[in-house]
Amino acid sequence: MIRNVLILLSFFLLASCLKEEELKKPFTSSDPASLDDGWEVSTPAAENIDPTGLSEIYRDFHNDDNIWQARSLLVFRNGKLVAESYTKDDSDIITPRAIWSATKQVLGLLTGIALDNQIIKSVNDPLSDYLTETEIYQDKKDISIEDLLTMRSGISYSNDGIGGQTDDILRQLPDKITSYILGLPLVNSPGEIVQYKDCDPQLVSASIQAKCGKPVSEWAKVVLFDKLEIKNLIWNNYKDGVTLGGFGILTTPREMAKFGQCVLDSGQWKGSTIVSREWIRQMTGVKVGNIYGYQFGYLWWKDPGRGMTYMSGHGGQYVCIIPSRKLIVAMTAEVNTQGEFQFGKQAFDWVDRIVQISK
Amino acid sequence: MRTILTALSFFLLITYISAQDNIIIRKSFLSVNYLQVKESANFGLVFKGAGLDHGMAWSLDNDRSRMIYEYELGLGILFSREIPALGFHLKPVDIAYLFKLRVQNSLFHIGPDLRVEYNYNLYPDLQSGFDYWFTNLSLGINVMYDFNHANSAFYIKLSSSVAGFTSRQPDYRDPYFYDLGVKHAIRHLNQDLTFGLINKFNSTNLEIRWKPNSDSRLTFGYVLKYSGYFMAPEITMVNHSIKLIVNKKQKQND
Repeated sequence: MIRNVLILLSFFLLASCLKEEELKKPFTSSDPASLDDGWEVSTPAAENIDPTGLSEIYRDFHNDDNIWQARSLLVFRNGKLVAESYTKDDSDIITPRAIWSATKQVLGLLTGIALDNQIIKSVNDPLSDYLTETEIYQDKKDISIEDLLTMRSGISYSNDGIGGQTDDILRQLPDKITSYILGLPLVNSPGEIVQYKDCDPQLVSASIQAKCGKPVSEWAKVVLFDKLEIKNLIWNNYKDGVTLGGFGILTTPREMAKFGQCVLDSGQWKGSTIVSREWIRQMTGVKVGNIYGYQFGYLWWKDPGRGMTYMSGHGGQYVCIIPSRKLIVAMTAEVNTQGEFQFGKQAFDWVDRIVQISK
Repeated sequence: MRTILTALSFFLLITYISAQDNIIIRKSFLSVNYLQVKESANFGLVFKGAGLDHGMAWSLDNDRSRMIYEYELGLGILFSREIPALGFHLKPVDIAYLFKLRVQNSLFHIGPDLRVEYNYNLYPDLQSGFDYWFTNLSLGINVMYDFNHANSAFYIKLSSSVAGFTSRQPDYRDPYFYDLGVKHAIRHLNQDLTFGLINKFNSTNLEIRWKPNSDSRLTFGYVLKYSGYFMAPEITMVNHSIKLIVNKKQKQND
């Protein structure tokens, strides 16, 4: 009897181990699909990218177990979609997913449109010209739009961790997002110290909204998204109706890359001007020498070593623009990973490999 | 629903105690667990780790039947690819009413089993801000087999849910906004309970106990627990436990 019981136990121990599934699909093809979404489709060879080398990169991207979080890799050259592949789910091609802080770069473009349309008169304008709440929070009235675009508001705010202010906002604890941010202490004089934080672009969004008279998400649809033929995009508003500025957009890598193409083409999309060339120059110029080891413009990132301007969102949502090669690489990954488990800046190694095979 | 079930359970318990000549046995137990959780939201990752459970059980025996009430509380720390997770487990109610059945020289107990189980998992570095849960209030069947061998007592129990109410987190949640905290956890664990049969969920326990001799206050056990929810979002949980049971008290109630 004892022996039978032990045999039974051994059987259950062996038979009841759960097995991890394949975290990424095997690579099959990187041929892009024609979706009638505004992207012209081409081939690597036609755009002077080594097709064999690109296939090898895609195969490695699918097989590399160290980047199990990665969901997509798309390559655009000369304004055309050359290759795309989705490592987990082919529905990612049309399913909007969170792009987190890459929302800031979309807001950077919209700030330019707001300036072009005189909604914002100048980046030197003080916040008091836009937000009536500054009458209550007087210490914030002299913060300029430029301070906000360059993360220099001086407001005490933390993006990170439980108890941080972003956590409060994601849990929708404050009733009014603008008053909540303006009510936080000012720890540095505006314009002095750079600290990367979500509250600064949030105040840019609130400022544009205050002058537009409608949520920035609605206004953006007319002045930017429709013009870029973007359909798969959702932009969350806070519960008081103010559009989120530091994060909040859900979209697809194809749609994200259109913002990159617009920047690469100096504010144009298929020959039509969306944002002024001058704003693109300003926005992608170096305004801050070092944030986390990279340069920063007006809400846009720059990697001088790679000659690259890029969008970047938490978890590993990237659109990398290499103007010298007329090349854009878009990558997305799982959206709610943290710390070392994110698809971090190792993503740029994949950009390097693609640059190397792009003549 | 839970209030009715709790009231019914207490009523049955009181009626049972007062109407019978019972032997009441109280036990407490501690178990060390090897946990495995495969949650569909986690992209195919399997979280594995160690846990500790504590519980108490009261058993009321008479010539014809056995009634058992048991509760259990546990905590686990799990990992997948070095990504940490936390698992909480609470079984506030597990009541079995079993009829004695003699087959040749063997004694079987068989009867219904009413169980409330809460499982609550957090993956702070993988699903930041979001909580994951699996609640089941189930009615099932419980079979026990007691036998002696070489001065040792053995006990094999198999219980499995047949039907009940379940709660799971929604299959899709906006990735930006979340509710986290004790108040929200309690609400989540009890929200949107829906009825289902064995094709929707199952919770099965197999337990083997060994009591070295009849005078021993200690009993050792091995438990294999399986819980599965088969609709989206799916979850599979497997738990191997080594259990140390202390037989606290035995008294005659007549």
